[in-house]
Amino acid sequence: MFAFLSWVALAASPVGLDGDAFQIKAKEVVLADGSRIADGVVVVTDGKITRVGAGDADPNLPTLEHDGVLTAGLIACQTRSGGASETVDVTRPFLSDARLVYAFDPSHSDFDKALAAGITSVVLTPADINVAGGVTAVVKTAGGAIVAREAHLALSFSAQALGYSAPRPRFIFGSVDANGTSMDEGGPEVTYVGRRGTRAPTSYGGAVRALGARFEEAGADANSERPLARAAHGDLPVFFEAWSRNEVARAVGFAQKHALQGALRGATLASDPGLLPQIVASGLAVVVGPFRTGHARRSLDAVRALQDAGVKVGFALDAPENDPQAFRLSAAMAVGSGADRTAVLQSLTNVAAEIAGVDARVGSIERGKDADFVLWSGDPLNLTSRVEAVYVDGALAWSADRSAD
Amino acid sequence: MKNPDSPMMNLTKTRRPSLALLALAVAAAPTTAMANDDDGRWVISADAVYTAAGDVLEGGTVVVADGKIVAVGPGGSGNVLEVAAVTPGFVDLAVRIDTDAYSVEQSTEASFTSSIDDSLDLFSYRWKRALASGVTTALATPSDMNVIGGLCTVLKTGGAPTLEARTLVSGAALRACLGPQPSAGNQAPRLGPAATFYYRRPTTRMGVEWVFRKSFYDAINAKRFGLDVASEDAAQNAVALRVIDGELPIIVKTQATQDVRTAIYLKEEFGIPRMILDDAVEAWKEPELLRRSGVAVVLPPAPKDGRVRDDYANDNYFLALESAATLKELGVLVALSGHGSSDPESRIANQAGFAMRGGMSFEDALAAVTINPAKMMGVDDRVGSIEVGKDADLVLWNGTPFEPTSAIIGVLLNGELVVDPRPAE
Repeated sequence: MFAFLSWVALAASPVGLDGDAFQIKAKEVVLADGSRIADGVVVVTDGKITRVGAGDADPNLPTLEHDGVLTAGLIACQTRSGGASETVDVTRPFLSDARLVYAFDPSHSDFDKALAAGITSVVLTPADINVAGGVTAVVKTAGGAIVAREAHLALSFSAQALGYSAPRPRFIFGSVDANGTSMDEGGPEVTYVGRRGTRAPTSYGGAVRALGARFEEAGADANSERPLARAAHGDLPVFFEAWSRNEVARAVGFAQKHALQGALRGATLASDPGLLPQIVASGLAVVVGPFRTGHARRSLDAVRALQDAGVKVGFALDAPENDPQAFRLSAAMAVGSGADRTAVLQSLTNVAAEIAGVDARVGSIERGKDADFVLWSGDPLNLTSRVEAVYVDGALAWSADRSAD
Repeated sequence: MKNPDSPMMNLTKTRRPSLALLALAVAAAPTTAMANDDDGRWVISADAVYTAAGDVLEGGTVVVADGKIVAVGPGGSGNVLEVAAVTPGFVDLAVRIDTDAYSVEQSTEASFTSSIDDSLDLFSYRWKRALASGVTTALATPSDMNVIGGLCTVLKTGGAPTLEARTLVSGAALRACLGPQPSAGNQAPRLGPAATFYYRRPTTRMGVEWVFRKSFYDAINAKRFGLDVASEDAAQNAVALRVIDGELPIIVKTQATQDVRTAIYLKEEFGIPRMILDDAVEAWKEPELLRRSGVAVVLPPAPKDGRVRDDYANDNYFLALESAATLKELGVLVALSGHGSSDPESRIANQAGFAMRGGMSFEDALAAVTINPAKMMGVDDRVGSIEVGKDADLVLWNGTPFEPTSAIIGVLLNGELVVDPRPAE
């Protein structure tokens, strides 16, 4: 497998370490605008991309030849990797000042798995069980380096945030396993549609009013640095979970009323002709998926419909519940239902970086950007293609060869 | 063509044989079925037009343009739909299309200021089902888990899925519920601290009634003594005072006799001018109270065996087919409802048929599904009858309305043909 990677020039020191300059010559280099350079050369210096071009490589630099495709590292617009149950706080439905950047384990195996799937950056979000869940962070999967400490204010109008029952005091010491599932009757008692939660708000209307009042109060303070205030002032995007069509319409209306920008997460039926114009009017991006095999055609159609309407689309990973190896599957399924292939790859890279608010640093093969890239055996949206090596900040972070050790 | 003459009808009939023939001549051209309907103008030619405004036009036409009824009478040209009968679109104050437990804020027992607007699901398939069954205007109410559930909205059942497109009146009525439902599932305090608000809520009918009375008592006192209260209370009191002043109708769910009585006693105690009893299964048991109180009544769909099951109280209530006719005889403004049920027998048009079987006249049964509920919500200037200037919400029939042998074959909503009566090509 590693035969595709061959060192042309003998390097005195391992190629790709910080402080070194090296170049990679790939059969095909995919750029942010979707264009592809045949026999492209990417020069990396001190962890940054310093040159991208076609043609001959610089004879003075160590060169790695890759008989395949080079793309920017993939970016998952939502995951709970490395945090899992630490991102589920049932005690307060409004926890807007919480920070995901303090809730994850940077050396968790979740990140190794993501890296192996070609994912180099992820947006860490809280669980959608709180109306205001906290502030998301963008981190790299190699070593958990922080790209953005405060990426979005996470909000949820999902039914999950409403039909929730707080733990009862008499069982407050009950234990919860790694997946957040209660191991005895002491764990959080989750209720579903038709049942009543024991935590306020219990209703959509209650959530709209309570969150609206908080935004109005926070927004009135021009000097406040709190996440609610910054979101109200347009300085911090929101990451708004809403799944069924009425939830999405409600979230979109709320965002417009309070002049919030950012992204929706969920919006399974965004292709509904009654709903799509409302999403478009809001200017919000949409984070879709993850899709599994057997997913309803209608929700797969959302990607194409959103793309056609000019809405930015990103893909969710939602680890640890979902395996990072299935991340590309979501994208491939969207292509299978008619979404534009080039646009879907952008949704995994530079558009995802825009949604995460980190496009100045990552998400594209471009001079000045972090040298986060993936060497594929073929087209990344062809599921028979393999990840052969992943570089983060110019360093080899994962390779198929090493993983075989 | 079938003459819609039937013994139960006692209506003014406008006979215009020659003009009717003219209208039919226009309607007869087979090409009309394929006419371009993009201009939004329709001519509905019917053997009988039941206007719900006091008359029936035999061989009449209804002309619709720009979403409104522009003419009712003979003749007309344009896209002609030829049907046996036309009635107004139905108005259902109990479609029960809500987001279940998420439609009502249960962290308080009396959520006066909650609006159903924030909890609606306009994408629910149940709206389409209601529309296909002829319901063109509905009252959206919260699920009845609070004593005071909040403000309700009158809206159209179709159109773009936005509040702007569908709403007739936001905050048209205040929803309340008496009886066992608001207390179901609440718990008596246990040892230790009260874990949830359900420990503090009523667990009995008596407690439910107390919450209702206290809310209105507090509002009256706040007004009388100019109490300086927190803003949330002030907003709640303002809504309660609008109910007491008659600006805002209150629609109270009451099934059992004791709840009907309680509602009327509360109406009289606080001088509430406009009260509607919804789901009032046993209202017929209190004829004198109903007569003297001036409440309006919305009846639930007629149950198959007369029994209405109440799961919250583990009880059954009895609803006779004669109820609608009996209440009408008492001078009560009566409306029928379909509860948005998937059961075809529960459809609102069948309720009118059942009411007629129970002795109600055709005219009164028609009014009970059209103009009466529209009056209860104060939207009778827009909907509820076929009159020039009103919204073009129409139900098209293949026979005499409400007869078991007739079916709804078409529906117009705001002048748009949402159920097409023409056979598929």
